[in-house]
Amino acid sequence: MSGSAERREELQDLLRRLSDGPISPEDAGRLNELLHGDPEACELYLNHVTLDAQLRHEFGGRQPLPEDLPAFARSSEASRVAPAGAFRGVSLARFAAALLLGVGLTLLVSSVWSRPRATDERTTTDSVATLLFADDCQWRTKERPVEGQRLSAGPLQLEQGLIILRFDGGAAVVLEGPADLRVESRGCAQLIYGRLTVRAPKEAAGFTVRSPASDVVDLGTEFAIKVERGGATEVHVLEGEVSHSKPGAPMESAQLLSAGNAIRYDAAKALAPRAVPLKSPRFAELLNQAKIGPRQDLLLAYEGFNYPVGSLPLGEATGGSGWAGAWTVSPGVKLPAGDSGDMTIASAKLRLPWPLVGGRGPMLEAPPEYQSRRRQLAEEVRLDEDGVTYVSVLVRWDAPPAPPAGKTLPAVRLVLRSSTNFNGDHVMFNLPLFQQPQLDIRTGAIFTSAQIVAPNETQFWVGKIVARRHGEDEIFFRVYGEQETLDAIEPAAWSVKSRGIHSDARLDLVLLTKMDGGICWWDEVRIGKSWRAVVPTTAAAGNPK
Amino acid sequence: MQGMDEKNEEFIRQLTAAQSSLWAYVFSLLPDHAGAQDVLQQTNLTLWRKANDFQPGSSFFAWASKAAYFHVLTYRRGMRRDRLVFNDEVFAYLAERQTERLAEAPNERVSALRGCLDKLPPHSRRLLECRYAPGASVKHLAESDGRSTAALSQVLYRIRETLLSCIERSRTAGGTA
Repeated sequence: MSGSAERREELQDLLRRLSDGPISPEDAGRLNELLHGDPEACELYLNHVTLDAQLRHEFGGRQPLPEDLPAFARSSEASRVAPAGAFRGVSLARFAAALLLGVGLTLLVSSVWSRPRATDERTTTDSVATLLFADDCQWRTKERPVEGQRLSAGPLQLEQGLIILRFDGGAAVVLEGPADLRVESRGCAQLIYGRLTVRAPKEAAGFTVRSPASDVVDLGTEFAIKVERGGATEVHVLEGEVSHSKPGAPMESAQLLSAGNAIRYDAAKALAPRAVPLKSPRFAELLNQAKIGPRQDLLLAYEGFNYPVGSLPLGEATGGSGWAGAWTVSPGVKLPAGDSGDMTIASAKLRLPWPLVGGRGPMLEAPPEYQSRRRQLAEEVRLDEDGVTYVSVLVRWDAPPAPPAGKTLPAVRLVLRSSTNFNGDHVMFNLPLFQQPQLDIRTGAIFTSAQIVAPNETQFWVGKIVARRHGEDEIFFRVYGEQETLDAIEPAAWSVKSRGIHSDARLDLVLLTKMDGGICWWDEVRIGKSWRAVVPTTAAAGNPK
Repeated sequence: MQGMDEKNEEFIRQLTAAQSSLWAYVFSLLPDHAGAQDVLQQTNLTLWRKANDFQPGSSFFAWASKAAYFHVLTYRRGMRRDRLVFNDEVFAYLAERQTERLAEAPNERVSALRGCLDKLPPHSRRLLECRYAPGASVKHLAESDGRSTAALSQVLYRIRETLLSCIERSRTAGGTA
């Protein structure tokens, strides 16, 4: 490389920054100057850019998750649900189908490589954790967080009850009231007092709990920390090990504490801890104590298609709850040839391997000619206000063969739209023929999962809409296959997640749509305010049917 | 495979296999993630539409990179001059050199990388996995790792340098690391 060592150092610095994210116009100009007329510098630049691309491809779809953890205690990255090398494993037919749809490879690639675009980085939410569970809680703050709510940095003051949080860095936490916790970042919390139990999978190692007496850093493990009101602090290591040190002390002074051991600082200012007997329930025991059950009281709308089997005139499809009228076809829509406009009610077409309430009675059948039916909600789903809404439905689609190039790609969908702005922003949970779940909000805002779901079997779809009056709306979509265990609490892993969406849509229509062929069955459409409202997994809940 | 002939299958296989190289090619000429993603998407669609022009048996990357070059050029023309990272001279040199580099033994390059990844200390490899996981960013990783973004960025850079040296050694030796 021509020139001085300083030039090389400067180039290395620019390459480092380029790998981390977008560089400034000034840096870009300097990069050009350093490469101009210097083949050696160009070679160094190309080496780094090429390696970066290879590493993205190599690790982009990996899911290095331990199987023995509860799903919600694993990882928070939506696309980590993809199997290893998911992109490389995309079948040729699906790959071609993605192109036919006009999605383009980049959408597939981006969900695997998933480097946030510059615009996404600017608009991303400041949330750092999710409240997964909160039952019978009494809060000391005016603001009462609800299940599913995304949490920004700030205090959580719990007077009574038990909550479960998952930090975006991957650590799952049980907080027992009375407690005062400050959420600080996706990998750090401060416990003022109360008891906290942390389950941090390997990729969440480094999760830090700060207390008045000690900073405790997780090293891939499970531990509990209890802080008394005067600041006395106990640390109990249940699995793996942690490092602990006095607040603000240099890292070199940290001590390791391994599984089976516990220490106590008798006061916040105590310089050294003393050993105490290990006495703290395991994370799993706390989950059992929490009695996580369904929340039918948080269901906003429900349709179990509990109608007589056979043909049903649209005007008579008025069952369920939470609706403002019967199922209809969109006004002015010309029905495809062979579609009479009636609803077809079938039975015994779904296989339910899950302990799910409902789904074993009649269901809606969509014959090959069927295109869409819609129903108005009594209460709209608003993206212009702060709120969390969940949607679920059972689906089985016997998909048709791939169409010739240029033809519309078959798909099945559950769509939320606005009756006053039908073609405006919407929330579409879509499964195209290439079997990669998609979220579609508007033209140019389509998000495709790297996960390929098993075709032609019963699936359980769950969607989550985190709406914000100010800030980014976040939408999540998870498809469970017959071989997967349903999560009693919202999981860390989603099939696909939106990015950079800001919408003020008010959605009051639910559409069940099937594009171009195949036969589909839907059942148990649920819309609710909690994961447990739309995923009722135990026998404790009354059967809505 | 339903409804697609063998020629199509082979084409899609090659297009899939070329994605990593095409991204490296486009991004090296247009070091802006959003722009490079748009260009790659356009390139893929063009390649699909012109699939019949590809001569089986010839170099897929050599053919595909021409389409990519055209789309990068088009993208550059639509940009303000002061937004261009590279001037025409640097751009032309990088395009030519990167085409040569990426056309050379792509399988060998992947094998060399994997061999070198296996030689990394476990914590370095894990750090790379976390860094390049979907949705990950150095900033977020640094937060959860308890170090500054700059410090983590430097560590990652050194790991990449180690990998580059290893890849170079293994390719010079003719092996696959």
